[in-house]
Amino acid sequence: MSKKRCTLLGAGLCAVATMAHADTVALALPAPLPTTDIALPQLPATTLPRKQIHHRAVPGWATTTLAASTASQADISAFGLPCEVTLRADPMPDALFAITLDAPCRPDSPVAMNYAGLTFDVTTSITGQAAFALPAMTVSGALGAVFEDGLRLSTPIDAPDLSEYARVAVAWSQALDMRLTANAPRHIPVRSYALGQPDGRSVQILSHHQSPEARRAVIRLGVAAPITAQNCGQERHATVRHLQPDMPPISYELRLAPTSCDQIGGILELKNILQDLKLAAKERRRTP
Amino acid sequence: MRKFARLVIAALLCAAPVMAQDVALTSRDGAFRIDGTLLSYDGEFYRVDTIYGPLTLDGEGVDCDGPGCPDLASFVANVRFSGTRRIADVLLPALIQAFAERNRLTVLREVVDDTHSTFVLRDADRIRARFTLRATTTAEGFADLIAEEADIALALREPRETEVAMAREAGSGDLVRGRRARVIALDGMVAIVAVDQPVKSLSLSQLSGIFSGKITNWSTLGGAEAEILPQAPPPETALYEVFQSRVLAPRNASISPDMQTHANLEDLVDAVADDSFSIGLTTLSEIGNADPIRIAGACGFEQVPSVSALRSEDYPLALPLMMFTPARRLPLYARQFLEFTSSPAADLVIRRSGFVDQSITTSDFSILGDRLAHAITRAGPDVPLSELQRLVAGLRGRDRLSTTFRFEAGTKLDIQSRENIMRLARALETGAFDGKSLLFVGFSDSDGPSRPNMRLSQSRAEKVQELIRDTAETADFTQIELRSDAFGEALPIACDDTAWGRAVNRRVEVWVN
Repeated sequence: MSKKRCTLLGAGLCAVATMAHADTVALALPAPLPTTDIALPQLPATTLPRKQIHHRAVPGWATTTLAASTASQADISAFGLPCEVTLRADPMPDALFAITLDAPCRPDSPVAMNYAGLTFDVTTSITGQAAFALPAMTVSGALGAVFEDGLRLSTPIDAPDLSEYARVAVAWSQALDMRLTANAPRHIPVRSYALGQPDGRSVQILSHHQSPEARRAVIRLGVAAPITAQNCGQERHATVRHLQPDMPPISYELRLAPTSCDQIGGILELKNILQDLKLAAKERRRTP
Repeated sequence: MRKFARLVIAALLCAAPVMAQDVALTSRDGAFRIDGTLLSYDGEFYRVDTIYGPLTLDGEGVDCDGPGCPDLASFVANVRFSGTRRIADVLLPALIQAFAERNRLTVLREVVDDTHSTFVLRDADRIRARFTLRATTTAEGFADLIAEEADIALALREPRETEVAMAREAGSGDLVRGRRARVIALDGMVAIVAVDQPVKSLSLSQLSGIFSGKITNWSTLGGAEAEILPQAPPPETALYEVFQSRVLAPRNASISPDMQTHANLEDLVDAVADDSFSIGLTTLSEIGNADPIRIAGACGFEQVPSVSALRSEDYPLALPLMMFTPARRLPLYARQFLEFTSSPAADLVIRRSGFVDQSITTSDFSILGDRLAHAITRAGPDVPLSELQRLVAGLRGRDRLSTTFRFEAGTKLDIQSRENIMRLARALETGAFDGKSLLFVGFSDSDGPSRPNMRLSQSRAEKVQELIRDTAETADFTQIELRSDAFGEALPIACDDTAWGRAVNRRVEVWVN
């Protein structure tokens, strides 16, 4: 019972507590980003930028005009790094990718990330970086990043080992502290990931690795949110994507009717809107 | 009761002499004019309540005048579904999604709450249809259909006599005649226990004893010395009603009123999965993390709730999932959707959603293994060995179709079998069996002397063959051989000591080569 309460009421703390039990997982925003331990993003090799500066700056220096000199100065960030923008996806274990967006001349800039029909917002750091772990949601796809001025980058994401994973992702159109909840039996470990940021569009992903000897299991999915003065009366829009072993992916769009502001302090909970994850037994069928 | 009051009010309103005349439909040649209140417009047809009663008029032939006239260019088909959550929660959303994708429409599901949603289907230009869904019970679904608050009722059982009568009174026609019902998928009633409960096989009378409160300890059933904690769905659900009528009523028992019930079947299933001494009642599509119980018979046969057993109705507690339509015409999108639900594309969606589809599959002669061994062991004066040899000679080299026909009484087919007639007839019409021979094989139970049983099984096989021939109007019967044969009580698949066992044994199988 207390676990159930946890899914209903728990914020970040509660989510951590239930993770330990591994039978109820609550995802909350804000959540630590990313939830798994990933290697810190690799900075570009230090020799490469120097070369670029050299190539570009030296001829300008030699022939000289003031305008050209300022223009080349503008290609270097406040920290002396070249302004080149890069987006990288490095494969990690568990069908995860370490994503590194590097835009030294675009510090503190909002970026819309698109992947497998899911959209979420990130903001670059003061040095113009953004890094997070992205669970693959399609065997072959691409991650796109779009800056406010229209600058677009894209990197392919290929995850051939995705067939062993059951995953569900929910992309929320606005930050409204809606949580994706899961209730799975004890022997079914479920990991959770939160992408995006508290004040923008966000994506929540639950992932279960199905071992070859796994038996049939069902993971119940729901969504819940406390009804507050900030979110009452507002519509919520979500894109849901399901991945299950041996099944084609499913995507669907939801629009949740606004909750009444008379219900502030209550909880909006929907248990039948998301399809439960049904895992088929993996063990070989015995011949009769 | 509330629904009934609503019906009465609706009937009174219809009879009222003064009504708003909000449309006037005039034929293109001006020859006639009909005044009335517009009930619906489906994109093709007007349905108008007039002094003569409700009339349906082809939109092609008339012009509409008056404040009630629809905007023809922006017509949106509204289709309202209401009924059992066993269809509404998972299956229907999946079917709507697949239907939309097939018709190049996008879907947005507008969620009001856990039981009310609207699926908005649109193409590049505009919204084409709205499918509104109310997830409730079978009884409420029928009430909504009768009160014209739903266009399609989602049901786990056929309508009760009171519901049929109410529909007739409300002017919604006969709910049981004609093609008002269609079976869209198959499910089964199952009892479930936690994975670590060792008792995994029970007879129907044991189940009846548990849920009527007569059997209270697992030790009576060969388990541990512990109290049984039965969990039942709410009494207003069809699952409860069907279990009561099919399992308890024949044993003059009824579900104990102080049984623990759960409003949501998912909660019931989770409670059972978490408690080794619980037993619950649910459907095969919703067993969660619990294990289903096999149905045992005294003679040693066990009925396993499996996909193939549900398809061939060999499992005694099959639960066809049905849609009931009104006697009036439905909008084009609704008719296309209904058509889609019986297509191979829908069968795939049904399987992936965890239900059993009705596609026709085959299995070879070797599936008879155990049954044949059982029959040989029992061979004697009623079923001589020579009869079993005739059976082997007739069926070896052929494959059995999953399509099997069963009878409610005498030669009246049950609802799943009636759907099977349509399915098999359609397969014949599409040429799926061209160049093949279909053998309709009748079997009976072993009640009474063997000779009349043989005759009865032969007449059932002939009846099915005749129905197929009549229904498959466009099939080319010069390409398909239809024959029938019968073996009476020779090959039982369940024990004949119970009524349900006898019902499972009375069947017509189809063997093809």
